[in-house]
Amino acid sequence: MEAKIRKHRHTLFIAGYAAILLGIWDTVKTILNLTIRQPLFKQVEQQAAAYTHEAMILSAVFAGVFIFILTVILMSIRLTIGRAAIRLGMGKEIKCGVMVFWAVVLLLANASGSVLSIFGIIRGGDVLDLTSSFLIDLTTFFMMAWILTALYKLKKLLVQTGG
Amino acid sequence: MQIDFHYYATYCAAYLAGFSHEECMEICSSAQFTDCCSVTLLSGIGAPLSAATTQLQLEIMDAKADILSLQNITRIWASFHFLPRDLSADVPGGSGLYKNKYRLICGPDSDLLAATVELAKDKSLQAAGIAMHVLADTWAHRYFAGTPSMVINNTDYDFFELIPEGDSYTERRVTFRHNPSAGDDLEKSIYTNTVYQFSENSVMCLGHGRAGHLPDYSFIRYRYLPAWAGYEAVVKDNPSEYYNAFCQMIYAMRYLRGDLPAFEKGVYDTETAAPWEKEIRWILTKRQPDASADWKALGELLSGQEIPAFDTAPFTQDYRKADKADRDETVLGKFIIAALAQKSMVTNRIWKSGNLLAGYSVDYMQEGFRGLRDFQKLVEISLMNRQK
Repeated sequence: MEAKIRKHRHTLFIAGYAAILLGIWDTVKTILNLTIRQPLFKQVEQQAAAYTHEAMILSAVFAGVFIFILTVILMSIRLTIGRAAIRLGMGKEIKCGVMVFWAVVLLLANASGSVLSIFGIIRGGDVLDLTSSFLIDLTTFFMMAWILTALYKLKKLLVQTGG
Repeated sequence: MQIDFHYYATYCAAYLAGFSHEECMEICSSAQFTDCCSVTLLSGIGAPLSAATTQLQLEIMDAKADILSLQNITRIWASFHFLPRDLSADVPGGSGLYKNKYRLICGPDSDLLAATVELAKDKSLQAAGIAMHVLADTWAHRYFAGTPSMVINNTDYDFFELIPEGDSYTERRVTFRHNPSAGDDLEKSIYTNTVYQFSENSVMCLGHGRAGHLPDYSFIRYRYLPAWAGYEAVVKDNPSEYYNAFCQMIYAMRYLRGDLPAFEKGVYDTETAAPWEKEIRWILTKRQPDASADWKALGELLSGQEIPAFDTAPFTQDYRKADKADRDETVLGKFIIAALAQKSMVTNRIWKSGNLLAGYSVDYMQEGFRGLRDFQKLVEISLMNRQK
């Protein structure tokens, strides 16, 4: 039983780092999407074109702040999950309610994303783009499922052993 | 193990087994020379390269990962430093290749160890020295295999040193880093190991490289998860195991000297070592990177003679100066013959068990000579002995 506990802790340790790395990629992808592919600045600029110069600047700043906050939120969620998983993997006892909540949120979000990507491909969307989105979303889905499964099994074993 | 045990402790064990000072010096010098006899050294003096008993770091770095190179690495390291414990071990699962690697895991009291000691019987003191090196390393290098394999030899963050505290131990996590210039910090449990490479056959995963120098420190006790153990923890108590190695060396050398009729596995001559047990255990448990000074002091106390520092020069100079026909009679010449015999025996046993990780082996007496010319010497000696 000790061996099984170690195995699940090891899984959490590895998955924690993987979650953080995927989070970094996800964040970079979001920034690239908002600044290059579907530039938020340009959309805001077009809408603010009817207004004064100061309004345009304000709009651009708002767009920048929005991107920054979104990035921080996205990364924070991944870091929360990753760091908690790593600490559990190292044998530390921590409260994992927040980690479980966000892992479930990401699990469902990425499951939906994967399904939407498939629909997009079926409807004739950009195959390359949607396929890569699908793969990343699927990976994140399995990552979160892996973390949650390992956590559940670990907790069960710890209860059995009185740990 | 390192020079403190292979040279000085082997001297002490040989003296306690009844050898004279001069004989002890020949034995312990050969035991230590097993860690020095590389292809680089042999090629520099025109000696047969197949007699190499070790590989320098630079040689290992240059080694390729093709099958022939891997077999060459395994032949050297499995024959002299990581003698396999059970070539027919029951492996719980995995592919054929995994099972073959698992069966090369080193451990003490094996059939191969008995064969190693028997091989040195009625041979030169150099053969005895090689046998003692191999014997000692079966204790220190236990749980690791002499073949590059991540799935056997890798370690991870779950590695704890057990620090004695009263009657029990406290655990202190070991931090590994790859910084050979910095050295090991014994007080903070920070040790140097080989770089992690995500490749099954990487030489970084040869032997105990991933555990750094820890298995070779006599004082250390640690708990870790071997890659092959399925998350089961293994505790290594070096002070106890090194003491067993010392007593087993006395027993083996008494047999080689002719005092005992047979060599049996699992027998350790604790009786002969008993009067010196306190001193020996004190040396083994003293927290220091090199116990040479203490072992030297004990050896000189035992014999009343000075033990000179180890030097490879006497080995190589005599060999180089001697005529070709007389080279086999020099110290290095005898060492080479013994090394070839040991390597040939171990490789043959591994091959006969159905394991190709050490390459092919030819039974010269049955099938005639084939393969590496260096080993022809063994055939000639065998024929000469038969004629006698």
